[in-house]
Amino acid sequence: MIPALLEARGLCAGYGERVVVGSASFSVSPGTLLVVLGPNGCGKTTILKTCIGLIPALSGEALLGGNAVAGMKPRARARLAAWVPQIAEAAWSYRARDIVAQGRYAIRGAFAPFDEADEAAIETALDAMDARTLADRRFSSLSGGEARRVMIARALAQETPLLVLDEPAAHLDPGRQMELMELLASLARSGKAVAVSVHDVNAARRFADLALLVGRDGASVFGTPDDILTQEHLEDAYDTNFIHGDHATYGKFVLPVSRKQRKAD
Amino acid sequence: MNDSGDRTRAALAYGGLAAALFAALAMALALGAVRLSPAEALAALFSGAEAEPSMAAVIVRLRFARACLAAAVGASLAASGAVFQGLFRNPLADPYVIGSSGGAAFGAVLAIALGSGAGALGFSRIGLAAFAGGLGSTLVVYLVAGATRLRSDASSLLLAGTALGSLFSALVSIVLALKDKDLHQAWFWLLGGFSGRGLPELAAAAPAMLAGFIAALASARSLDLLSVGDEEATSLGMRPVLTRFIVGGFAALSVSAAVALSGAIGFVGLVSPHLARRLVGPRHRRLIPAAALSGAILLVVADTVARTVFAPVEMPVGAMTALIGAPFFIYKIARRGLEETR
Amino acid sequence: MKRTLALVMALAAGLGAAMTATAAPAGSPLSFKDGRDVMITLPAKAQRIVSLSPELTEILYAAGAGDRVVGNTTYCNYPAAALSVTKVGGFSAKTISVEAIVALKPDLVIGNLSAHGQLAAQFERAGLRFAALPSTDFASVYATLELAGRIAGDEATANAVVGSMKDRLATIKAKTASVPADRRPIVFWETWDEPLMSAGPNTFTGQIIEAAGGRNCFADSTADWPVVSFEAVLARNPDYIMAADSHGEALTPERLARRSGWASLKAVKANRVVFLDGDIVSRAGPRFVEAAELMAKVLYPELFR
Repeated sequence: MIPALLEARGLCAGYGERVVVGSASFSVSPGTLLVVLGPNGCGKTTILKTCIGLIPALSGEALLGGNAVAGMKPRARARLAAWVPQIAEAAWSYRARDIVAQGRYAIRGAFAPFDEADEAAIETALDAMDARTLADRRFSSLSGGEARRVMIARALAQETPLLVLDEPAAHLDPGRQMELMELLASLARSGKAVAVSVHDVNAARRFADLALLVGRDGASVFGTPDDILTQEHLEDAYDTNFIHGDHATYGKFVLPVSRKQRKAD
Repeated sequence: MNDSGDRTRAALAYGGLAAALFAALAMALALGAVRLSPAEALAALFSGAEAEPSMAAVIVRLRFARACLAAAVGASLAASGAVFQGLFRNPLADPYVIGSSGGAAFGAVLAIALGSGAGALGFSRIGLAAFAGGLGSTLVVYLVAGATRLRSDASSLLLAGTALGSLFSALVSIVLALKDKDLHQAWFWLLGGFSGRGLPELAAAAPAMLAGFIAALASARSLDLLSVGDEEATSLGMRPVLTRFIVGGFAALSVSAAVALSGAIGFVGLVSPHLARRLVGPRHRRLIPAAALSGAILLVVADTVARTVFAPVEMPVGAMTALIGAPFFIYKIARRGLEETR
Repeated sequence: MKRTLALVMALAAGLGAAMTATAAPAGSPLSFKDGRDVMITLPAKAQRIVSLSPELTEILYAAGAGDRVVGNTTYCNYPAAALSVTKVGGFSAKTISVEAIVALKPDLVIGNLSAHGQLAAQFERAGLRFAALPSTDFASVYATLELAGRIAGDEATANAVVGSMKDRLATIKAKTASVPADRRPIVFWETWDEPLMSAGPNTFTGQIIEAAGGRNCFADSTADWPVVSFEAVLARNPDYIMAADSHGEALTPERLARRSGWASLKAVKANRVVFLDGDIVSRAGPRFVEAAELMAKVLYPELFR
């Protein structure tokens, strides 16, 4: 069995007094795509940020490459995990290429000059994300989707075994969403560990190897998509009635119908 | 790939700035309260060390010293301004944003009120008091910000800096009210200028200013990373809070030394980074040297104007930099709506 | 015999009348116009006076009204008796406490026209009688001394002081009359070093320099306390550098040596750096003549042994 790259044990995530996600346990190994699902505000972003040490855990622990995240230095964490946030804003008018170059900090540090290996990594990352044409444009002038491609390129330039993305498909057209998920799946197949939060249950089922479903009350379930994306779990988590279907080419899918009636509101 | 075009553009910008600095220095040597013909000035410049230098030689050497001071202080303030703008992701940050000018002013005014005593370490007593005040107030700002950590370390530093700035302002007013006979000396010191300071004073301040400048250059990549926010910067492997502490500390050291030399001269540290960004782009490895050159030019020109326009009376340099810098800034804002920064 | 007696009695009566005419009896009102051209009337000689300037304090004491000063400022340090009087404020108008003055129940408050004129409205509202007296030049000092004698002190004493001052100044003028204008020594008065600040011609110091037979290095300055370019000092190459003794530490030979370019000045080469009591050289009071005399002695040692 391949040892897990990212492992959460009873991880309790939140801010100060407020618990958002209680006691989540899951793991991601190289070559695996983990999808984190749940309704808005359930804590998808919070749990991901906590896993890689951007937010301190309230209790439990997260391990990166076998070591506790809490005790690791930022640079060590950045060698193992690359983070792609939902929105990025640069205070100054950097070009997209400059943003991608930021990914090399974990490897080069603050002072060592960039060499051919760094330049090559940046170019490769830009190519992988089909962002060559964007490279010399101002980052702040890019559309949402274009900016996200650049940020993923940055994560690729970081050359880490684990990629963590926060709702990268948000606001993308359906075709582009699928394209993105395919890309992530292919990255996983090429050996990376990928953890990504998504909103679309169907995309999750189609591409994910593993799923973590976080409910409104902060409880979570972890397992394969078939185990997790069941009628019962989904209705509980999203408080919605779904129709479950099975399409010849597409496979299993769900369609939302209506919100569940609450007895007392 | 536009990189070579980019590199050419940068080279042209640096060349242009260097030429402009040279021109500014030449003007600074030629102009002043005393009229010297170009021939006299040139002869005096190359006259070498004699036992009894001619008046022209003394004057030119004085102007040279003054131009060196102005260039050094201008470069220092501009580089520090660029650093603080980067550390706080704020285009309106200036070198005094974490309170060093307030403390320096208080130290200086206190020293003026207590009389013109002897200094130490090559600084005059006022300069030393200003230096200590500047560093001291920065230290207090750091302590207060650390003790009251808000949403973000940057916010708490800025707020602490503002609060302390107001506190020192009040203290300065109190000292001036109690010893109000010394008002005009204090007022002129506070407005900033190079009158009465020469190469020995520059030599005393140089180590601190140089240390600050080197630290600024070294922090270039870190400042680039900080531009996307503390959280993202952390995910990329850096430590924003520690960086802000160390880099900010060195910048404050440099600013305190500059203020000890010349009082708190405004606008140079705010405007030069913006000018430089227009010329060489936002990457700090290019921005910081370009800002330093721009600041040197601006301050040399301002000082030349200050001591020439109403000769033999000297105007406060701080007023000149505002006169030159403010219209430029307004023009820039009106034209591009601070688009540069987004 | 009767005629002689009548004559003597008439003389005596005449003398008596004459004497009472010159010395205003304790009960008659006194009027004068102050620097704002406001007519001020005192029911009798002022008995409780608050002085807002060090020079006015000195003038009051010199005119024989010292024991009637009930309030003065923290800068009023001469004569020694002035130190123990109740303080009502500092140097500028903003630091004066009207309350403190009211508490002293003065019948007259006198201040400097330029520095304290702005307080007139406040004093009026507080029911205080206020006179703003000018102190811009020597003539105004004489006028204020005479006025002080008339309204508060002893006229004879005051007039004697004024007479003596005028005489002493006239002596200096006479002794230096033979020196042509362009041979008079140039004096650079350094008020401050960082920034380099001098004294303009309209300041008292500037006027004293002229009265002592010297030439102010910056006699052409329009500002009272101009920050000057060292180049200009160098170009004018003063014969003497003078300063208040409180500023002495900045002008020691060691400190001067550290100032770049100053070694070229003839005043520095010959070590003609002179310090004078700051109080007498800048105050528009009865002692300014001392300053002029001291300065004249320095500038013309042969003329003033």
